[in-house]
Amino acid sequence: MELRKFIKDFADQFDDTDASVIQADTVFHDLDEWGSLVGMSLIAMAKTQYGKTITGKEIRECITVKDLFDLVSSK
Amino acid sequence: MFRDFEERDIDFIYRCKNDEKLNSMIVGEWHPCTYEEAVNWVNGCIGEHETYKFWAVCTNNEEQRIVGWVSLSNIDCQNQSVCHHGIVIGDNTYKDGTAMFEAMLFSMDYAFNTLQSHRLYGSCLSEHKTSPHMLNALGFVLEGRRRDAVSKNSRYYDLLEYAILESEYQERKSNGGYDLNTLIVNFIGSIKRQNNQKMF
Repeated sequence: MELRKFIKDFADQFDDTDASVIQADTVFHDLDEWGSLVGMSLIAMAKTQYGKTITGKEIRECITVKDLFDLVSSK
Repeated sequence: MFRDFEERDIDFIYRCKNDEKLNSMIVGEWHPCTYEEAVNWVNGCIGEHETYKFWAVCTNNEEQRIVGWVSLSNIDCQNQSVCHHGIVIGDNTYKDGTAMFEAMLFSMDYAFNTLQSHRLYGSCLSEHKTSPHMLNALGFVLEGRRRDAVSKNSRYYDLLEYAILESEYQERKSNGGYDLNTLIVNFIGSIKRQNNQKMF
């Protein structure tokens, strides 16, 4: 699993957020567009594109996009 | 988890009620809220009421800190119906979708198994990014569209009317339809169907 691709895939879940804003150290909970829609899309992305199951509780414990990458990688 | 409202929730409610973005797509009217109005709102939620019920959605630990709320209204014993009044997750950390579904499942369980309602109904703005798909995923049936029914943000919005019957709820529940993974698949499926319809 490659971090750069994960960041791009994660950024694709947003409609109105410029992809360049999303970096490894981005605190994703602070993004204006972060919400239920993106959260559910993230869980679905982990499942369909990476074959990994992540939970809401695990997402809540992550702070940065890199943390999300590490979470999915660890599964 | 879910609990009754408490006075310590007032500051959170005050912040949420004054968050314009959070309130931009709710069906009801929105205006900035004074602290006194927040106090009155919380006091109105506390305790038992004949026609409505509000719960604080809170952290699943000893602190039980409020992160949002969920509510039922128009509890109608004559027709055994109840309105899903609303759900708000105001804490960004909990806006991952799963807290929202957990709150919906909690209120549906209360409506059908505690109140023993026959029908649970609700409405949302047609352009709300999440609500129509959440209701579809939960098995609510779209019963109608009230055109230009809501005026807010200097324009009109269509209002979608949804409902689910007790028999439909129990059948879906017994078939595993309320398993979180199933809900997520159905939620994403609803979004994709909408996007495909927009393309053609």
